[in-house]
Amino acid sequence: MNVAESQAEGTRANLLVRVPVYRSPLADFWMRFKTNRFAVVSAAFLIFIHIVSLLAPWIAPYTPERIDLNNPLVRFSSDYILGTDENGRDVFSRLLFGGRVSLIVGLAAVAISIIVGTPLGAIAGYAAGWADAVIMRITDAFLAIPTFFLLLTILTLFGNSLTNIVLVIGLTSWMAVARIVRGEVLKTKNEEFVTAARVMGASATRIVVRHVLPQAIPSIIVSATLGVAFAILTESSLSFLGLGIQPPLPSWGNMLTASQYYVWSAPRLAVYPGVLIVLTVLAYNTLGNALRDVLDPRLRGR
Amino acid sequence: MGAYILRRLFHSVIVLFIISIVTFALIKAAPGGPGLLMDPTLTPQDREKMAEGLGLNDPVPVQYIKWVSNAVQGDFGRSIMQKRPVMDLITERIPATIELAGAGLALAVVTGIPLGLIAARRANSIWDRLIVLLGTLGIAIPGFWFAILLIILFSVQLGWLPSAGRMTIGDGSAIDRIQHLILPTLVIALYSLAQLTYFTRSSMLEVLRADYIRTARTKGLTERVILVRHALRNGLIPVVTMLGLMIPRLVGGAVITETVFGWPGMGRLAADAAFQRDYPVIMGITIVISAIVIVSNLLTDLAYSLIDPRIQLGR
Repeated sequence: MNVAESQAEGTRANLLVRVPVYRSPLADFWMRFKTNRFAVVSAAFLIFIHIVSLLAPWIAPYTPERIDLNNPLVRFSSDYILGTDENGRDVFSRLLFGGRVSLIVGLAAVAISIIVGTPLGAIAGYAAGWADAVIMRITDAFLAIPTFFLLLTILTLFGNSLTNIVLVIGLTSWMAVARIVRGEVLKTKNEEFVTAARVMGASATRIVVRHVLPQAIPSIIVSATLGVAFAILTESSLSFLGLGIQPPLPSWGNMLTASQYYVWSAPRLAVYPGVLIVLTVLAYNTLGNALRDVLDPRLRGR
Repeated sequence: MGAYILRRLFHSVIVLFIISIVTFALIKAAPGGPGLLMDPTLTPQDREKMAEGLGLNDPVPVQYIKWVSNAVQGDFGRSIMQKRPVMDLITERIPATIELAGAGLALAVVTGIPLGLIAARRANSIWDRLIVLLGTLGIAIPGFWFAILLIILFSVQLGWLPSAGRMTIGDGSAIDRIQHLILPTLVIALYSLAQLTYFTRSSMLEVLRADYIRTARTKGLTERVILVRHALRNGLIPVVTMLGLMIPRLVGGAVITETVFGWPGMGRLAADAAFQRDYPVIMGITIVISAIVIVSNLLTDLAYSLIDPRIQLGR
């Protein structure tokens, strides 16, 4: 600020009380977030793909199971804008409904991993001692099992319904959440406001739920966003192998199973669902990384 | 140092113990339980006799101990479909998986680490951006889809490389084997390669920001000497740990890769077994692979303590 400006400020100060610029947390978040163009594009794409998938029954020209044996492997036509698969089913409709299934599995599995991981991490971090030791060894054990084999084992034993797939992906991916929450709790639990709550006689549960865990929410959001990407990849891999979502219910993964037999005649069948998986996973990853930059105060100013 | 190794060893045993409990609990909790094994045409009396013979009427802890002591000796029971000991099936398939996973890991290391170094050295340059973009894609592309694309390009369109198997029947020469290995190796390496590039980049960036690097720069050392002699040694230490953590994912990727390319390894065995609900096989594989992962993690920890002198000072 040069001399002239500060003088101008001085005269204006007689009329106005200068207040520091205050932005609501949400406005502050948006200020930081919008500087990352990739993140904004990713968020827009995700909102679009979720809305479109949600509205699949109203947008799709056909039901995903409708078979038209007179028109198998159509390239594209006025009836089938993205063509048909080997059974004459409309690829566009199946992509919409498949997206619905894939996204639901991704989101629900992450919800479960948070529901399981958060209390475990909080208990380990806050109680410390043997509870911490036991929980962290269990976490280590789950990290050491190649998850994909565990998934196969559980689906083999319990069957591969939609519910089981969601449960199994959720129950094999809570470890990251548990570790992150534990770390945050360890960091926060000796802060003065926590000590104050303790002195005032708050119970351990109340302290953790009301004072400590809210501090961990940004980290949980970041982990969850990245987790959705991982869950969608896992579901699509399982469904591709024929061990996940069972046809005729479409998912982006199981649409690719059949496509591998038509790579010679109709490689485009392999392209559409794959591109959607990649874009969605890419968008979730980009969004997660951007949120980490915005929400993690330690990284600010870098 | 001795105490450190013992402590790590103790942890590994506990982790393996927990895995065995989880696996056993899964068998017990499954609808039908181990009774699944039995022929549905049996009378209830025969069934009871068989249950007695199999020890299914023992108290659960006794069953667990029997199961574990068999598993420790490499006895995971028999395959339901193939009627052969699970351990035989696994040992047959291990070499193919080691070949593939080893090639994948090697590819990831020899390309991922240099790419990460280049990106870190020229941070924010066009090269850096390009490498980060490729890494981002590598993490988002599902392995099976990458495999299909490679097959479309290299087998269908160009006809350069075979799309399935470990060798041509009746051939099996070194060149033939390598040709069969190329596409599966690219697929299994993709994720680890991207991860390793990212990780090397961020680890090196961290180190290049350190005070002693600034000191080296003010002494007038060339960028090359700073990078190779000063930064590399510290920057690569976390990368070694990362290698250990990558192994479960790499082996998990074998299921997909081996299935798409018809590669006769453990991953394909697991996928087939899952498909046929041949659960003794799949559980045996899960435990054997977990044990391999735990041992490799232990070795990574040991390597880490050898490279990084600071570890020995700590507990």
